Amino acid sequence: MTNRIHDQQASQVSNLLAGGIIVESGNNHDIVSCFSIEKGLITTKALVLFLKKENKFLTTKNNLAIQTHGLSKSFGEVQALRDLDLAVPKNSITGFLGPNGAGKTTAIRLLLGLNQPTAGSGKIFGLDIHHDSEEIRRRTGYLAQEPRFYDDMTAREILRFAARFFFSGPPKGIEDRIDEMLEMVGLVAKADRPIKGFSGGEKQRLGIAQAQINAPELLILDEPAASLDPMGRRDVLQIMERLRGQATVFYSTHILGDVQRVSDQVVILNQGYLVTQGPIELLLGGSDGIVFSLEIQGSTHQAREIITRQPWVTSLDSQVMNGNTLFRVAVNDEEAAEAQLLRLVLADQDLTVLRFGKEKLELEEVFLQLVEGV
Amino acid sequence: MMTEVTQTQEKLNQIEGHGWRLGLGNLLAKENRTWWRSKRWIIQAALWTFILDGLLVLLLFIIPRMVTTDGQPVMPGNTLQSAIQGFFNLSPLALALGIIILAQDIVIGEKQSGTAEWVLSKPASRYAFILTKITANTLVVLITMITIPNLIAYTILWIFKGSVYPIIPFLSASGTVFLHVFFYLTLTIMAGVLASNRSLVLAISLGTLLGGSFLSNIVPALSLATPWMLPEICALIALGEVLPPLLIIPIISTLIWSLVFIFIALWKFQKHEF
Repeated sequence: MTNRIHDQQASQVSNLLAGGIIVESGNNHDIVSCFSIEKGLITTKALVLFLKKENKFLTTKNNLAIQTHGLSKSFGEVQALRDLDLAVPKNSITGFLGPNGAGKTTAIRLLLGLNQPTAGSGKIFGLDIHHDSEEIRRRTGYLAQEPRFYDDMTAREILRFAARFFFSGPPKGIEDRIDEMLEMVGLVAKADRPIKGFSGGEKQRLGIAQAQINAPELLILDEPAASLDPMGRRDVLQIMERLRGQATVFYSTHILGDVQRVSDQVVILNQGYLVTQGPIELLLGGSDGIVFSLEIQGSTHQAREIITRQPWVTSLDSQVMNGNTLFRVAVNDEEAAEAQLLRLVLADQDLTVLRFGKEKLELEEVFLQLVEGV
Repeated sequence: MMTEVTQTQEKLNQIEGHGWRLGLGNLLAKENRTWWRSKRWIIQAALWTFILDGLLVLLLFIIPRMVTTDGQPVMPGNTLQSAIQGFFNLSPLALALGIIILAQDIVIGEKQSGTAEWVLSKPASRYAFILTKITANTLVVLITMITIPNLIAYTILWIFKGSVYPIIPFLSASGTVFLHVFFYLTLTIMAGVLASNRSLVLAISLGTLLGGSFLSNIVPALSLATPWMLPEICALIALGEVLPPLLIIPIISTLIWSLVFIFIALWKFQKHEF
């Protein structure tokens, strides 16, 4: 189950959406009590806690760049995409993750009208992906997984050709725009050379330039950094970061470190199914909500009793490591835990706290947990 | 950086509009540029001039002077008539073969390489994508394969005859040759839309061209509903013969087939999945 909150103030009234339909509304407490936690998924509870803490919203109904409902695609017997319910907020940088064959490219092609869905529907900026595809493409930039251009044309000619789909003139304005794009991707020196002599990385840079030529509101990038060297990758991430708050960037990638670095949102697909989607901070918080860890030297009996009595503590796990004890304390009120947990433990004079901190998972761990159940 | 970008964009005139013409002008300009701003058209024109007019020169000036071992002329009878007949019999077939080779990659090449996907991710209609391919290549056929070689052929005939060859039969025959080539152009483009590999495109187009005479021998009525009899009709028209009404039918049916192929190509490409 994937859930989204539709609200103006997370601390006030929230509506819980499932598949785009409001299934529950009320205050956060009511919603939390209505839904059980499902292992491996971003849960309603965790989501509400996150929203409460951050005082911000995942999505509001009119604040979505991309929204799909039950979007499905099959190629003959092969079901490439199943019941995809996407909700990508406007002006977010959303990483679209999944193993090879998960259905990412299929989903992207459906969004752009390059393929037609077998079932379900989708909207970009509120426009139907099937009926309003032309208008969507006018407002979107797209970089394919392996960008291919006309080999006999130069980079400048490719950009001019791409620009002419959006702008009728004036020629000087178009040329200025092309120059800006060439500069942005570092291809000024090669602007007038035929594409056939370009390396994979240079083609990728050109692909990013042409996707940006119309200053799109939505940039869809399919593996934008796949064939780039580390500097090229850094440049792509910088371009994406520069767009933060100005355009929506929806990009698929296998480089999880990049996602963790620049993305606000993450969508994970596996075998055509949506595994999860939501803010990256929430995903990295894990499915147990917020967990603090303490490494303690000395007898922990009293500390354990004090901690478990706290109303904001939901569970406590402990294990012995090299003669020390490691506590993992799951809490439902991060502020209270931050303010009180360490003090409570240190109140016991016989204890020494060697390490204290909030646990944060690496995206790779989370990804593997969700996709492989590792 | 992005502020500068936005400022630039404000100076640009956005293209509005929807429907089948979306992107048509840009795509047509690109297709035309590919031909006319490179040496490709010169190479094509030179190649077909060499092949077709070389054939005519051979038929008019060289073969008539050749004799067999027993002293008989290789090409007896009226040289001019035989040369025109040979020219208009062979040029439709040679040009059809040429256009099949030229056009076999037009659509399928872009489908396979990913450039079609890229172009269609822009605000461009699929109709415009196919129509510009047909239009630009039709223009190439008209100029490099028909007009230039036939203009030179007409001059050669004038020189040989010592007076102007009747222009109307020559133009009508050239038009019929064009129709024959146009049929194979549209057939090859349609095959490129329908098929998923080049071999199949070539098999469909070449099979139609080369298997035609074989099939029309088995089922003679097929000649009326196909372009397979057009080379003979071209020669008759060029010689100024009045065509019996029955021989008008292949001309009309070839035109209808070409339009059907265009319709199928447009319709199927609209549904193409990348």
